[in-house]
Amino acid sequence: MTFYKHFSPLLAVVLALYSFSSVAQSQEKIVVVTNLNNDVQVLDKKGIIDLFMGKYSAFPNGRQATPIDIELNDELKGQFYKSLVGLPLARVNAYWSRLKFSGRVKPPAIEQTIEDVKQRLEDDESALAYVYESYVTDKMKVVYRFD
Amino acid sequence: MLVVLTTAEFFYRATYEHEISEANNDIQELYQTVAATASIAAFLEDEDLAKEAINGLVKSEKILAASIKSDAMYYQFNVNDAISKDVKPRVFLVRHPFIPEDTLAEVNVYPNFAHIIEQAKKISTDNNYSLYVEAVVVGIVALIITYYIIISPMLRVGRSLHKITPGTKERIEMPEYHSRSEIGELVQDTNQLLNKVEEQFTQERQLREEIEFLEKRFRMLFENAKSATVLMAENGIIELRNKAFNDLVEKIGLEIKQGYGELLEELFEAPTAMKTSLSEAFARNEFATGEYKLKSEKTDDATWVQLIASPLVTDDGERYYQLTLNDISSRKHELQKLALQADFDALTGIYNRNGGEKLIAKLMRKDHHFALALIDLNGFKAVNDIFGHDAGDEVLIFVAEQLQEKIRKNDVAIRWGGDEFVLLLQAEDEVSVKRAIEKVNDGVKQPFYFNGDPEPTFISMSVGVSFFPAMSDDMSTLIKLADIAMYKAKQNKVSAPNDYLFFADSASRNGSQ
Repeated sequence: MTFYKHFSPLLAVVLALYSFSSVAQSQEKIVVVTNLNNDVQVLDKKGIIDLFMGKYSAFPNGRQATPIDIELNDELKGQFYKSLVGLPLARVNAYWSRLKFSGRVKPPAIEQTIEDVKQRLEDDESALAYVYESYVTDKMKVVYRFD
Repeated sequence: MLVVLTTAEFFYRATYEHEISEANNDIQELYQTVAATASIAAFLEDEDLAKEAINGLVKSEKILAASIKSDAMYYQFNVNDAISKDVKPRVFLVRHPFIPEDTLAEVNVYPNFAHIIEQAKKISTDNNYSLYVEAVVVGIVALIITYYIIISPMLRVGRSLHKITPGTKERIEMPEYHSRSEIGELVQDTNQLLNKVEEQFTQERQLREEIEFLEKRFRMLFENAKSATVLMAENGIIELRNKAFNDLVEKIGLEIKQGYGELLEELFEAPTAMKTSLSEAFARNEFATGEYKLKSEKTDDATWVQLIASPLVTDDGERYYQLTLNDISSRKHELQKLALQADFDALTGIYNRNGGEKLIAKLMRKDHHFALALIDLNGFKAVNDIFGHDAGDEVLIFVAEQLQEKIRKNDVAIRWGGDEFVLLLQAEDEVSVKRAIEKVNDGVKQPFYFNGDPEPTFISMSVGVSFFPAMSDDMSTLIKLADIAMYKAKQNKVSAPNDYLFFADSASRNGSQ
């Protein structure tokens, strides 16, 4: 018991340090953004899943939605899908591979870099993409934040 | 076989249970293979995918039917069939592919029980076949082993025991590797038994040989015995007889048969006397013996036997008689002949002087009263001289016949010697003596013709008589008295031939003394 008492403050410190570093290591927060002109103000996680995983191709207001995947930033992409559906990229890719033949469901559109994504968000009103929170410009509208 | 059948049934039950649970597991696994597809289909509300998932399930033989149902869609395969067969579905919840806590749809899987049972049956049938095969193989192996280890040696032992003649030197050969087994013990015990049997056989054979030897001797003794011997049952049936007996039966002219009545009575001339005497002896528990005359058709040649009869009682309580008949005919004849020679006159056949004296002594001893008549023939000497001795003999025979014929039954005629005869008459007074003598005299004085002689010859007699016991109780005195009286009569043979009979008187007796 005495031992435990002596140690409990120390344990608390260690745990605090660890959690801090892990937060630090999980890089930046990801947000889901749309074209500034998009009517949609906010989306829930389920709605984002429905759009990115191909269930729906339109926003709840009926306007066409074009989800965008980033091709050359696996870290961002991986973190996004991990946060969204809890699956690694390999599984997500496998999911799409399985559905490719049906042709009825389309995977998200592809942009190469995060700059390309930025550009697309500015140009395409139906675009829906994920970016680090720090990349958000005033030409984008954040509709969802991952905690 | 019963064990195999029971085991087979048990196997089938176990296999069936196992197959059911296996099928449940399989269905679980099968569902897992389509779960992702079903999940995506439910998520995307994609009927093609749903079809793919359901068709994927029903491809398996273990699944009869399946359906997927969500708010947005419904697809089934063969469910009606399953419901008609009253098959209960297994229900799987279809999760949201990305939000596992959300349930999007429900998949009903109907197991193909018919197939499962068939499978179970097939497996258990296969099992049973292998079980049967195994049982047969094990059985055959066991049979072969049993045959070579137990049955074959037993058969060999049995065969050799079968061939063995008990009581000989033959023994059962010990089967290989069995010297210490139960079969070995059996063989050893049997051989010991054979040893004992041989020993006993040897002893018995020796005994039998001894008995045979003895029996042969006894038989010889019995068969060749001169005495007729029979062993007879109480009912008269002859159990055993020897040759001498049969010879005896044939000799007396009877046929040989099984029995001759009680105690051979048919053989005897006076069976009643014989039986009485024998039963008296038997009653005293003695053997009986006696001399008896046998029946005979040829009367002139009588057969006499000495009969020895002993009752025998066997260990079983049966009563037998041993009867021995010794033929004593010849001895009897000899004796008779001797007796005749001693007591009778060879020429005339009546008592001679010796027999007469014995008779007189016997009568005196018994105090029988009698008259003694001494007869002397007149003219006999002349006949003897003129016609020879043979004619004399004829006269003597004639006179003897007359005497025998004319006297009474109880009177006796004796040839006293030469031409002298004596009559012993049962009479105490002179009158009756006179009557008897006159009868005799009438016979004697009849004319007598010799062979071829036409002239008759006449014989007369002179008689002197004395009385017992009136005159004397002494034989020679009686004779003498009679002789004196006869002599007196003799004086008259020419002068008064009719006064030929004189009685002795006491006076002359007294005078003579």
